[in-house]
Amino acid sequence: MKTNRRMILSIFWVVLGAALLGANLAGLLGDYWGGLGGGLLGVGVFQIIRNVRYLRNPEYREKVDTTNQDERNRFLANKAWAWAGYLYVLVAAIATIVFQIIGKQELAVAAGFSVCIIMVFYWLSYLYLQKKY
Amino acid sequence: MKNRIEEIRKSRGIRQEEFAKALGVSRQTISSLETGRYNPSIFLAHNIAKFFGMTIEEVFLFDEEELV
Repeated sequence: MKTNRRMILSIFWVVLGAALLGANLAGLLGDYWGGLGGGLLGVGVFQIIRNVRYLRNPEYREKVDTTNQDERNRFLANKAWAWAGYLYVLVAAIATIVFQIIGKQELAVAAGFSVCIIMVFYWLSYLYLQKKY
Repeated sequence: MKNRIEEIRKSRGIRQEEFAKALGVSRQTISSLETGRYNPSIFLAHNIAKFFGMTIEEVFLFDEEELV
């Protein structure tokens, strides 16, 4: 069921990517959209190959299922997200000050704003999880 | 938290790969558990103890000082 949903999504990426790339090659859309289309097409094709392998190769399926269900892997993924969040806030906070000092005020505001947004997301997530658990 | 997983597993002649497959986890998880780098969830601890036919307390050595 989950694999079918993934397959449908992959086909959607391929169709959307091909449409964007085609429109770019036909001169209807700019290079940005052509590049995006190429990327989506590549991702979609890669995912379809992976899904077909998953469906046809029992050994590969078992390996993927074990990796996905493994509790240590989940723990590591959660920990990595937490570290990425901490690092992002730290780097963006430093960038805010540095941009302000070198006179790039727009970038300083953008970096500062992104820190505020991530802190708001953190507190909303915390409040939600507090009610859930 | 210390545990006796490696000692019990080896005494029964079970390879890490076989043990991991029986528990539905990766071999790396077994390795991390045995070296004490990763502490399992209560569910995995239960499954490990059940696999060996022992209690959780017999496999995992709780140190009250670690809880403080």
